[in-house]
Amino acid sequence: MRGHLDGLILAVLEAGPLHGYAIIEALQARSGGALDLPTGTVYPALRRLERAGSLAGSWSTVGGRERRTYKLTRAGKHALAAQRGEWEEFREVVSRVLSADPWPATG
Amino acid sequence: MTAATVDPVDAHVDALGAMLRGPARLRASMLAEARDGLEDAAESLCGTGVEPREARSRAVADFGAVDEIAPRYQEELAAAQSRRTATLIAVTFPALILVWTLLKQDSPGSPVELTLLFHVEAVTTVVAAILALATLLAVRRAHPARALRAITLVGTLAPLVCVVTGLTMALLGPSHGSAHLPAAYAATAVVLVALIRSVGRAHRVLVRTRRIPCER
Repeated sequence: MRGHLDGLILAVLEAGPLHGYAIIEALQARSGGALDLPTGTVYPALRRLERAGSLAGSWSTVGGRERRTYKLTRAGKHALAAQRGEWEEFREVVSRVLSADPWPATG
Repeated sequence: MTAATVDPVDAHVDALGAMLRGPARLRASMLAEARDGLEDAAESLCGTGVEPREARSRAVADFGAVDEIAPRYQEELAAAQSRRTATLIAVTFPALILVWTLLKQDSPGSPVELTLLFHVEAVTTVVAAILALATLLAVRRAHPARALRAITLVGTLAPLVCVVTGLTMALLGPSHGSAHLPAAYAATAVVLVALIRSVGRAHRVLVRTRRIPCER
């Protein structure tokens, strides 16, 4: 799951900017609680995505507390589209291999 | 203070902070964000009926062990330090070589050894500046520890070459040196001191980053 964290974070930010804990809540909600990763891995991943130019982060006051909010950049939208494409390709290959259909007869 | 009075969130953020080395502003910002996240998590758990102290302990447990989390934070500090040291080299080295080129034009007819040494220094400076720019471009995607190691090496070797050639030139230099020579030496000394401090910091950050490597 760790390898896909970047794509998952970009996906939950597609709808609009969120702060760190709201991103974690969105990840948990969208996965139906199946995504069980240490929450402490999400914050440095956000900084890494910011360093890569996929996210823009800034401090602002949300709910009476200073919070760091992240939004998807244009490069981040491209990165998300690329990740979706790769995932679709991977899913297709795996489902083809795993499918119960017999191999097409050759010769 | 007894174990019962130590707040789990405070203790966890302090333990994380103790593991991290790097630019103070980013370190403080990341720790503040971690604390905020833990406070949010505890609040959210309290909202579901969990007793406050238990909620704080559970938020800490969900956050992950410091040993597991700290390497990921440390990588970001390594990237930030690479950017800082690389920026210093990329900006100051071309400025220095410009100053010395202007000075050299001030005193034509220098001995051939002096011209050769000057060229060594100029090429070293330009190569260092190019490598620093390459690091700045690469740090967005590169493995932070590698970028930091590269720029620490450049920041150590290039000033060494410049100091050795610079001192030799000063010894061989013509007695009728330019009137601007003291100012040029002062500017060079200021840049070198700033650079040595930055490279020293980069080295310390690199040592820490290597001590807690990030598992991929």
